[in-house]
Amino acid sequence: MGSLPNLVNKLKEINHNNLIDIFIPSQNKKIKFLPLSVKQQKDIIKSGVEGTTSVIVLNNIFNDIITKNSTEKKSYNILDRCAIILALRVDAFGNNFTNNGITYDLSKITKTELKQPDNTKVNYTYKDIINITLEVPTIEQDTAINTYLLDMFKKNEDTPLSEAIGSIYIYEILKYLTEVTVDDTEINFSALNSISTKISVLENLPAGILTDLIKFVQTFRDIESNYLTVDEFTLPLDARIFTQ
Amino acid sequence: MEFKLPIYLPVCKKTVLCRELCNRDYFQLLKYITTNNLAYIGSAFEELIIKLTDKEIVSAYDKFVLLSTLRSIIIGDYIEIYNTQKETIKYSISRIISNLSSEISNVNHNSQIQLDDLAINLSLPTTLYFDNTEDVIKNSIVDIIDGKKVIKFYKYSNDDKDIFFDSLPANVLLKIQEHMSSIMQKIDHLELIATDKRVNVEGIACNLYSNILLEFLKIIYSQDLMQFYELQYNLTTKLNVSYVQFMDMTPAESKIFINFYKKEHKASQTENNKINLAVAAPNTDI
Repeated sequence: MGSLPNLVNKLKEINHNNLIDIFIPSQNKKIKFLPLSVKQQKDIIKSGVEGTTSVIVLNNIFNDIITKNSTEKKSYNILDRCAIILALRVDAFGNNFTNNGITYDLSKITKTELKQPDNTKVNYTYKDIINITLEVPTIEQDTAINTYLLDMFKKNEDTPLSEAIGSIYIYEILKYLTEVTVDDTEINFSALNSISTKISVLENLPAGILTDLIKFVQTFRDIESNYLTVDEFTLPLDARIFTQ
Repeated sequence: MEFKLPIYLPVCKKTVLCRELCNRDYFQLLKYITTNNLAYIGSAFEELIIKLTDKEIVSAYDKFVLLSTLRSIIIGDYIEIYNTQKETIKYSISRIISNLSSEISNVNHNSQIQLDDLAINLSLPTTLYFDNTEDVIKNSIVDIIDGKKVIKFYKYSNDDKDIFFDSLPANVLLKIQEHMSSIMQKIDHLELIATDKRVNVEGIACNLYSNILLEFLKIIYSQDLMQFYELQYNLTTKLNVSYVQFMDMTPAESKIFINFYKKEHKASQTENNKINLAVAAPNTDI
C-alpha cells in the first residue's frame, strides 16, 4: 500500500503547479492562489446549515481560505474577498451557474477586474463635535469581529431573531470604524483590543451618526453587488454556488 | 482437500474460489444482522468475504454477487417477499443476480482523472456500506497511479481516505460526480425486484450508490436466531452431533440431516401407530 504522506505531499506539489492568477483590487495587481480543496468546499457547504449565523460563519470560512491559499503574505480587505472567492469557484467548477433553470456565464464577471474605489478611508464630522474615521476592514478584522459575534450568539442561544439581526448590523458597522475623536479625545479603534469596549463606544454615539456610517458600509456592499451582477442577476456569494 | 465454489464476478470478470459458509460463521453473521446496524453488518460481510476467498475483491457489486450466490447455494435459492397485499411471493436469488449482472457487465464503469503525473482511477464503489454521500464519492476511487507505482486506495482505512480526499482540488470532486452520474444514467432502470402489477409487487430499484445492495444481503441472510438455536439443539440432542461438528456443517447440510431425522421419525411413528392399532383391535378368531 502506498504511503499516504507521500501522496498528500504529491497533491500539495500538484496544487502548487496549478496556481490561479487573481486580480486583487486593494493591491491593483494579480496574485497567485492555490486552488480550492475538497475540504474547503465541504466547509463552505456545511456553513449553509448554520441558520441565522450562516453568513457570518461563511465569511470566516472565506477569510480563512483566502489566507491559506494566497501564495503571498498580503493584507486583503473584504472587497478583495468577493473577487478571490469567485475566481476560486470558477477555477473549481467552471463558468456556469444555474439558478431557477437559467444558466449564467460567470466569465462575464471575471473578465472584468474589480477596481477598488479611491475612498476606502473617509472622515465624517458630526456637528463639529465628533470626528469618525472609517476604513474598509481587512479580512483579519472581519474574522475577529465575526468570531466575537458567533461566540456571543452561542452563549445566548435564546436571543430573538430580531435582536440577533440588530446585533449583526451594529457589528458590521463596527468593522469599519478605525478612529473616533470627541472634542480632543481620540479613540484609536485599531489599538483597542476589547471588542466589547469598541461596541460600547459605538453604541454611545449619537443615533444621527449611524445613518452616515451605514451609507459608507453600503457603498462597499453596492460595489460588491454590482460586480457580482450578470444579466440582471446578482450571484449569491454563498454555499449555493459551490454545490454545482 | 477443501471444497470451494467457483463463482464468477462480473465486474472484475474473474472466477474466484469460495469456501462454503459454515454454521460457525453464519451464526456470527446472524448476530450482526440482529443488531440491524448496517455499518456493522457491512463490516461483517467484508470480513466474511476475505475469510472465504483469501482474495481481494475490489468492487462492491462483485462482493454482492459473491455473497448472493453463496447464499443461493449454501442456504437456498429462494426468498419470499411480501407484496402490497401482504401475500408472499417467491423469488430466485440466482435469477435476480443473473439479470442484474448481464446489464452491469455491459456498462463501461471505469474512468480516469489525470492530475499532472498522478492518475486517479475510478470505477463502481468499492465498499458495501456508505455512511453518507461523501462516502459514496470517496469509495468510487479504486486506485491511484503515481508514476509507475499503483496505490490501492480501496485498501486505505476510512480516516486515510478522508485525508487524501480532503487534499484533492475541488474540481476533482466534480469529475468524480460526473463519473458517477454517467454510470447512474446507464443503469437507473435496473431493479433488484421488478415491479409486477399482476402480483401486486412494487419494484426495488438497484441503486449502486446507496446501501440497497447491503439491505438486500441483510434480508436474504436473515433468519430468526431462535430457529438457529433450535436447529443446533435438535441436531446435538436428537442426532448426537457434537457442537464442533454442527458448527463445521453448512446451513444446507444441517437442514438435510434434520430432514432425514424427521423422515425417519415420521416413518417410525407410522410403524408404531400400526402396531398400536393391531393391539387395540379385538381378536375375532375363536
